[in-house]
Amino acid sequence: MSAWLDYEQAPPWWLPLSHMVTAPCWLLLGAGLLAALPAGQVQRFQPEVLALTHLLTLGVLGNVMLGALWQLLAVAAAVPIRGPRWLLLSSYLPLQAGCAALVTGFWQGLSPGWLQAGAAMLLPALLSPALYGLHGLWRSPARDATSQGMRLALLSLLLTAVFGASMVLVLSGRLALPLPRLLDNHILWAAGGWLSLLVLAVARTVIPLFLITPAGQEKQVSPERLLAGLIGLASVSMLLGLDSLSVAMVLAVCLSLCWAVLRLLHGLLHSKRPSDPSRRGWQSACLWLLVAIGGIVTLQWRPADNILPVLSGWCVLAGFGLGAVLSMQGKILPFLVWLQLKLAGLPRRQLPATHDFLAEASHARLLQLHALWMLCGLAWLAWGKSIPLAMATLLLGAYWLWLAARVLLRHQRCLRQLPVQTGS
Amino acid sequence: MSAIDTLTHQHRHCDEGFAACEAAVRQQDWEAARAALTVFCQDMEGHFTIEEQALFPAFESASGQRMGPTRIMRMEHQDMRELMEDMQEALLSQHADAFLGLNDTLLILMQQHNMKEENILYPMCAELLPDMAALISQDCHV
Repeated sequence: MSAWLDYEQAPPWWLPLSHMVTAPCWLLLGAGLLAALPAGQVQRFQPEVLALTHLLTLGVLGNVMLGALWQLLAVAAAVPIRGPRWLLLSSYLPLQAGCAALVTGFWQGLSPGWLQAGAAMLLPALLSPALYGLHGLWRSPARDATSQGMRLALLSLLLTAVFGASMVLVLSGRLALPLPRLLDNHILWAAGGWLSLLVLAVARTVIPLFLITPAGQEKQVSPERLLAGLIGLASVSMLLGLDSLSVAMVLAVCLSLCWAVLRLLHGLLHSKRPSDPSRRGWQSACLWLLVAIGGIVTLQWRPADNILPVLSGWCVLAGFGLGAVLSMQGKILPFLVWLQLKLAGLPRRQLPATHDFLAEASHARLLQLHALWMLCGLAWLAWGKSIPLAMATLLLGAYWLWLAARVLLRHQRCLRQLPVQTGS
Repeated sequence: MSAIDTLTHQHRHCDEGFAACEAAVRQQDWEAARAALTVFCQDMEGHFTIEEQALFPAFESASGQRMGPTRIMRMEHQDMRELMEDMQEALLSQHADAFLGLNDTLLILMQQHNMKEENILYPMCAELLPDMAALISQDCHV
């Protein structure tokens, strides 16, 4: 236990930052793809829609979530991040290459070669942080809700990757398994497990601390454990082809998610820091998740509906997922560079405050652009016109990247003020 | 109330003072802000004192570690003290933007520090120090 809590065991600032700066670049690429999208009503299994979905989940959300994960493992669970360069090589680089290959494969009408190349690179990209994190959490003395939630989220990431890779093998004719069951499981573990469990687990600690909300009463069964258990049961019933039980379990997952989100919303309503822009960001993210849950519940009675799955997916991934990570960006990104400069030895009077790296007004504007982007997405689903969404994506991605670049430029200017080291 | 609950409650109590001060500055109510900041800084100092003079030394002798986690916690306490001093200066000059910038920096530093203590350090102290409740109650100001 000698090393835990030590800054030297925290990830070097460039590891989470690489992920966080890459995410808006993927969003910009998404704007280009949206602009090139053929006109017409959105179809759930349209190859271009599948390409855009994976660009959003892996390129944008995957990068930010993995970047935040490295930081959270160290801070919340005292997991030392050893070998950061190895992590960059084994996870960050294959994630970008794998995402590019997978998106190309989908865009080209499910091209087996590209999809297999994507899966081959994405497996190590996702399995290495999942296994690294699980191993670290296993040894960590932390037993709090966030650490437990991270364990469950990382297990979900493992299963998401395995189901995804299995689907690629089925699509390539290398494996004979029922594709719809694999697909349902892939979506269940990705959206309900990895994304929702990680965000909810982090929110349970981060919201009361940073927005100073009343602490919720500890329950015998944590919402994350309940959610993970229900997802597990839903997964098994789907794999066994027990349709009625699957529907019942999916509804139970929705109820459990609803309960967790309403608890968060209740806390946010009573925040002692109502002026912090991240409060509104979290509230919006929670509301988008509630809309998505409504869509998923309705879908159980209208399984042939074409728009409901896409609408629910848009609300979960773009509304809840990206909304939550953008809310957290306002705190994580400036603090990472502030801490790095402090540890580098920048004198106290020259060290800018976190608002000097990212002002509250800029963060609020970013969240407003996200809201506009969400509405353009809904218009795309309703009328099939992708150009407004492409423009909004370009605006959101460019502004996000510009903010990140400003943070880095300010950091560079501060570094030049460092006193020259006179070593022996 | 367990020793961990007492220390966690102190964190939350300090958070309340922090939020009250921030709210007063946002409303440009400088008098109320000064009063709230004074109470907040006193509460923080009281909590640091309990940890630095009672809890950390006991943990260090029980674990045999003087250069481990408690060293980092002390360093972070010092960082927070410096930020609180800077906030007092910003408040004296009624510079709201400067104050809110420092306030945000302190918030993130303070909360990630609290997270480490509540998730890791306190449970380990409770394991190593059977008399932890008595230790912290001897010098409990908050």
